[in-house]
Amino acid sequence: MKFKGTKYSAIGLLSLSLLLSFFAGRSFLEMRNPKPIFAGPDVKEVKHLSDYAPVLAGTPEDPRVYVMEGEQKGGTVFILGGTHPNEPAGFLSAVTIVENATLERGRLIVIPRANPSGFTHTQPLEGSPQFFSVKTPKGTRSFRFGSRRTNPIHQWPDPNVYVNKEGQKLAGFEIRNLNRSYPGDKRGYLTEKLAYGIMELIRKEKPQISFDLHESSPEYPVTNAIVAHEKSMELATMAKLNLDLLDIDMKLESSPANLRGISHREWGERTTTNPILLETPNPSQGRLRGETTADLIVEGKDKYYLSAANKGLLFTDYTEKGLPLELRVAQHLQTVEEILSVFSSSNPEKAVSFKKIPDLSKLNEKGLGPFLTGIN
Amino acid sequence: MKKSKILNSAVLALTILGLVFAIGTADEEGESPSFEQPILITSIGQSPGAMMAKVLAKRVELEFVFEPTATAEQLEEMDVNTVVAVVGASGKGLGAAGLDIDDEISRVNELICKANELEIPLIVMHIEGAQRRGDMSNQLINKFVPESYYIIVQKSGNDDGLFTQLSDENDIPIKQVEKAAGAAPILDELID
Repeated sequence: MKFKGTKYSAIGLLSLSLLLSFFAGRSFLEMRNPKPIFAGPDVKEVKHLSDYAPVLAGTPEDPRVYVMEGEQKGGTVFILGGTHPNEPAGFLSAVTIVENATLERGRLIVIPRANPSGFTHTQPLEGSPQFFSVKTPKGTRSFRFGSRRTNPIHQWPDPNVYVNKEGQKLAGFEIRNLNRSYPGDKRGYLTEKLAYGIMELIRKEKPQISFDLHESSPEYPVTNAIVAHEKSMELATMAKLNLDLLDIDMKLESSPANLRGISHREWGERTTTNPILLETPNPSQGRLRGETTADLIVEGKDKYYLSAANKGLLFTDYTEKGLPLELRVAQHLQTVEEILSVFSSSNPEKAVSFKKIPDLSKLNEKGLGPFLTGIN
Repeated sequence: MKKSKILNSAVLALTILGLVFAIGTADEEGESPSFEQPILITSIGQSPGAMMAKVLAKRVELEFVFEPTATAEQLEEMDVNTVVAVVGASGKGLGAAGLDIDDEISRVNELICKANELEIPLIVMHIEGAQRRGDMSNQLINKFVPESYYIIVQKSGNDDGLFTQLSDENDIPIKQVEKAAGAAPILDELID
């Protein structure tokens, strides 16, 4: 049977395609609206990174900076989440701190969404969902799942080869990877300007310790890991030994001196801070995963990872229980707390200590939801 | 006369018992030499395990020199009485030290030869658990653990029994600990 088109069928098909384009476009543009982060009780000021690096003002790469202060004076600590927006535990750990933590001593400077442009798109060919949700006592709260790199809408084209400021040769697309762009360049590409802005913040605020919160694939050797520059390695080691006693298995990794452009190397080389990068295992970014759903992001359950674990191919424990987001956030928060505790006990005049922070036991007992209720 | 016979028999029996007990104890404890301070803490494979040993040594107030890439020449210049080498391969650590696995094997070979020449005993530790077991680490474990006089291993790093097997085959005393921190009191007890 042959279908003969008429002007009415043409108008019908055109209308249908316009309707589909409308909904698809609306869904696509929705990714550019940042989900709110609510300032918690100890947030004394909300700034922008452009306050430290004016070159970022008015660009898509001007993240919010939350400054928290304790009752007593002490040191300063910097926490960076969301360097890679497809590593949700790093981002949500920073959000949980901003919205819940109270400080006894010192200052905490937190950027939960380090690469805002990376949160506005998903990585091509990955089949990632645009959003994932966490159930809270006040309802379901939705968060963006983004890309490892800056949105090409904001920075394009990529060169064939990216040679960063330190002379490291990388694949061209890495020019949009914040954690390959340090120490940055105020006259460089947008992502390099962002890296420069973060360096400026560290130079001006002089934090004693700086954290960069990440996740990695369960099949990647550097997972469940504290990566430390030489000058922060002893501190990281002391914290690691304490974490062992809490049954939190975080291994230590040295920051490679010959891989340049990464936070734990360049922050350590060019500022006075002690840099530490944390990695927890995230099945939603690994190569072995099946369908990438919002549930996979939150629950971390995947039959292919289970099969890989049974064959001994993973660098983390993995069971039918998966690797839930709350557990990965707890791992980040407990490690941060332990490192601050070790540092504060040996540097009392520069101490930074929490009065209240959702730690492993609280997150295990209550889950993540009660700490993401969005109380302003 | 009878009394002295009984006395002699009793002395003989006690001597035999003593000998049996002494031999039994020696077998149980192996033939480990005495370990004395100061110690050199070094790495076999450049993982951060050596730094963990440094922190543990500090906790129990041992006198030590920390040199993860110690060479035979450096050992000769040092005033140390025991070498504590922490085995565990890390690609990042080797890269940071500017070494590849062959360089590392050659450095440790020379270091152990020199330690033997200077009659400095070697303790090998593996305290980073199952996560620090892989082909490269196994290569180092198989090569250098048999050279040691004492093994301290975190249990999860010995799940496959490799350290126990090397201990049995080479008659080296071994102590297993649940957590890395458990190695501190063993070092404290072991080293005078």
